[in-house]
Amino acid sequence: MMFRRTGMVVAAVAVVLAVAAARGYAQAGAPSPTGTGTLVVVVDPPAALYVDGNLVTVDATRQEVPVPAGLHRVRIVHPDYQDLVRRIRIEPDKTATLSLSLPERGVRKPVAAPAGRGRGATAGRGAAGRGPSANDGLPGVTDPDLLTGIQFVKDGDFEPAVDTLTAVCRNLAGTPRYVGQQAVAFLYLGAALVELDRVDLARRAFALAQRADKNLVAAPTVFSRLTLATWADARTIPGSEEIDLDTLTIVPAPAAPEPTPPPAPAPENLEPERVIDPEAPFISEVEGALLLDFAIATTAAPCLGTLMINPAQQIVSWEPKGTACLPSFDVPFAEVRSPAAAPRGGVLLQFRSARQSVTLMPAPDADLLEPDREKLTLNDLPPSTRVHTRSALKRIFRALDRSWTDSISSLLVDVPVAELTENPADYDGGIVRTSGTLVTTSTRRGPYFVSDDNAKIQIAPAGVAATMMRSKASEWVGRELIVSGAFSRPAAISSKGGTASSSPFLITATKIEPADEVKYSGPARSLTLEQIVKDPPWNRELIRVIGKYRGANSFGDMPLDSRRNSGDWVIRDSVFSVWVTGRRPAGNGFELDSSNTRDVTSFWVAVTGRVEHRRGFVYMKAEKVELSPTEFKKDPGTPAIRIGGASVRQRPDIVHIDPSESVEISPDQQMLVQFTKPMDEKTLPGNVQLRYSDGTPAAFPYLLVTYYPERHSSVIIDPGTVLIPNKTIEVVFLPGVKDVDNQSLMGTDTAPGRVLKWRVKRR
Amino acid sequence: MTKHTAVLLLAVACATGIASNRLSGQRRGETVIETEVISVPVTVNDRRGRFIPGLKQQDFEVLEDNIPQELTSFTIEESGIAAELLIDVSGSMSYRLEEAKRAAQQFVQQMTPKDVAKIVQFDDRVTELSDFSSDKAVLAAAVNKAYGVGATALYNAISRALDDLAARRKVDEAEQRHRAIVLLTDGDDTSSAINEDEVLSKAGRVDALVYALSLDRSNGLPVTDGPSAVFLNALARQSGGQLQFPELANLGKFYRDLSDELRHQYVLGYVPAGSKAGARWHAITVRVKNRKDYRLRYRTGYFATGSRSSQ
Repeated sequence: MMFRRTGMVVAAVAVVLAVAAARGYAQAGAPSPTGTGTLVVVVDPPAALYVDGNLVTVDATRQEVPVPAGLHRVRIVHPDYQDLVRRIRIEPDKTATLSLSLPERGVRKPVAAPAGRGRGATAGRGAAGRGPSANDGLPGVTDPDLLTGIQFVKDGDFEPAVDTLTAVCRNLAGTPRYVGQQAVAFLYLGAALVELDRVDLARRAFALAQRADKNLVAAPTVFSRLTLATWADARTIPGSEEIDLDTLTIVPAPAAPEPTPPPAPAPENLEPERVIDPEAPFISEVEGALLLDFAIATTAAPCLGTLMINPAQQIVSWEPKGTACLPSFDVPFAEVRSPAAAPRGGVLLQFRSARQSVTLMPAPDADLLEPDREKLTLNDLPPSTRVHTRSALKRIFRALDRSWTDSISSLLVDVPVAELTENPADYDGGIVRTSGTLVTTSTRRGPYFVSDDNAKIQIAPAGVAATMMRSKASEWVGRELIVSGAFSRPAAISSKGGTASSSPFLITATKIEPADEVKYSGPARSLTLEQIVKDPPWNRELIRVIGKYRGANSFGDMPLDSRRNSGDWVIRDSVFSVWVTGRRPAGNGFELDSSNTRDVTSFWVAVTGRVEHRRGFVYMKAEKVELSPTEFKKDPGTPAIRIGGASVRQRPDIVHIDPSESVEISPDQQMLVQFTKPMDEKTLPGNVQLRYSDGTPAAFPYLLVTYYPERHSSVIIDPGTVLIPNKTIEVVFLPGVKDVDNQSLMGTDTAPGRVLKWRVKRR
Repeated sequence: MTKHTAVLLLAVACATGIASNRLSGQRRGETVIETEVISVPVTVNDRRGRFIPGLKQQDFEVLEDNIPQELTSFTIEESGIAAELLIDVSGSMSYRLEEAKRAAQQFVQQMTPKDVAKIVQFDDRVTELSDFSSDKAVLAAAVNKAYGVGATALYNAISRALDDLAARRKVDEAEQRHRAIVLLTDGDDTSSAINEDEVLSKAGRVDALVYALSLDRSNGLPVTDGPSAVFLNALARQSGGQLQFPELANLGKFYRDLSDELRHQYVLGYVPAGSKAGARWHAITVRVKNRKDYRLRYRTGYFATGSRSSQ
């Protein structure tokens, strides 16, 4: 059957079709009512409709269908979504309306690879399907009534689904070996309740499912976005709230004793007085998809919604929880810029297309967006907000599979030039990202400025950025640059003119790249080197390929006479190699040198560009070159520095701690620990713990210990929670922490392990 | 720069019990007015970098947020210093290390009883050779112990030193010592876990001067535009210190001059007038009247954290 996609929302169109003799799926035992009624189906975006197996229309938003009274099966078919099935009962002489929004109620099909000549399978993309298997891949579901209930849900027959699954939940209660199936029953019960718009009950059913089986996930390939959002929301129901199994009502708690008043805050505690639930989870994962609950400022109270980042589908989605909020959207990964912190708190989500950027505040901090609330500067934000923002950013980067430049000193804040010049004190000492046109009087010596909208700020390139500026400044003058680095005000040194050149704030830029090099050219298809060598694409589509940098053919991977230009270089994986032409092996903050042994043995790069063919050879004409940290981490051959020449037999030790244990740390601090040898990062989870030295009970549900081989065998420990002021926090390395030679860390032999301590300052 | 707070307590009998401008810890019926005196240490050198003695209070003018301020205090301080000496002992320094150590000894020998110093070496590890001490013999012995062969953890070393000086800030302010890092290195960082942004960000929050002496040479000429030099220049400039490229032969002189400069400063004090109160940055400008050839070095502002009365 051919479908025509309109690609637009069409105004309501009433199409009346005559339907042949009524067919229906009458429930067993129930007498069939006589007479006819009207079925109205409203769907957005336009889709094909089947009623009782008969095609009604291939493409419309509204259908009015006279049908015999009774139960009817409606199937909605759209190329981007799995088929949506609903059962609806029509009463004689009555009209029943089924209104569906596919973005809300549908389940997206995985994005399929575009068809092409001679193309092999693309990695990372699932096949489009017509729906999940009977068990949705949930092993252990054997109860026949549960299977029946699940089938009712799939068939869109939600009323009997609720009846059946409620009974199943009750029957399975109290038997430990059935607790897994009971959890599944609650899950599908909740899904049915969502479709019946009984969201509150659905939340509670989901909460019961989550309590019964903490490992149960609601798969985004099975359930709609609305269901997933409700599933995530269910986690906000406190575990202490008892829910009645039958009615799904909250059981009132017995009269509680007088609550202990909270301790008075310390006099110097300047954190704004507000209610914060540090345990309010706003980040969850659902079968690999990341879900984050955020708030957005409006003219009234902030509105809430969920940002979903789905690596399997390479889609970033936004789903508001109410009206008068940012409308829902779906964008491909490639359209999303790597986010940064927003100047007034939260995550700044920007796009490489014309789509407007949006500031997303973590849901637990939504009160900062209240209209009558004073807008805080970055320096004044509560530590909890900074911790939440940092946690969100890290997880977003991870889900996008992008390299996260962790900093233990500050969040990277994206700020316009004008804001930096008007309110420099707000960003003093921080790390900022800004953009503007390069202005300079001397391309060789500077000084250099970036200018935007009549505001101008000086940049002082440092490190690799300084080298790039010297070589590229003449090419960059007048172009828009994206600049990142530390923002501060240098000391005044009087010039020969006598008057102290009270230097304005400037950015010591460690990363500089032209803005037009990060433009969105549409999604690049990921291929392996084997694919582009054996079966090169013949059209001009954008391709992305990862390979190890091999210099200017330093190892003879390619025939010498196949080089096209003197600047060409080679990338290779385990077997296949290609020339890269058109761009140097340099990019955002890095430049590889073919004469440097470490460069040609250690780095993987991702090249985005188009495949060209010359004289039987395949070349990558590069448009963009990036370091590929994923491959970098995985490469076993990467020579890592061993401090002091630590040999295989030597046990690893700690060589640097930052900040040092002698200083007091702030409540939102991260800590860095560097080892003498490369560590086995798989041994870190669970073997690095946090605790307070005085035994204060504390959970760290968002503790994140991340290994950075590129920081010379370091870990950054992010407590993920605001630390309690005036207490001593301990990081404990347990004996399970090992290096790549399977040697345990020095000092972990005796209980409790290797302990590092910091005092948390009051403010 | 240090901030000395002079607190004036006025006991006011107030029948209604209403008090304005309540500050933490004040009792009912009392009105507390806090008046801050801002101290600005200034180094004044000629074009050759030599300290200019003999200046008087009336030779200076100070502006805060471009508003002229009246000086309430003026001292020529032979102030104490708290210095952390960082010595690069990486493999590339090996043939120069002995000479460098002899030069560093000159810094130690010039110390006065008011000074304290800590000796730290760095190669791929940062190793304390002494704690902060005013005992010259201890410090001299520590300098002599310096030895290493590994890679260069330059950023780790600077970061550690900033932490050390931050930890003793209150002590140094009470004893009126200026804090400084004196760094000797010959090349780029190759093994630090900390990156440049983090060092610069930390340095912006720590009140310490960074003086860097670079022995990095290429074909006999100082490498002034390599990654290390660019970073050290940014760091020094931000802190109010300097990056210099001494020859090995006259390294000792550089240490002596540095010691002298750190010790001789004019300290100007004023009570802010006319500029906006509140938690914000206040920019400071200092000039020597009629001497445009003098080079002044001072931190160019401070961040006020709380309320203060504006006069």
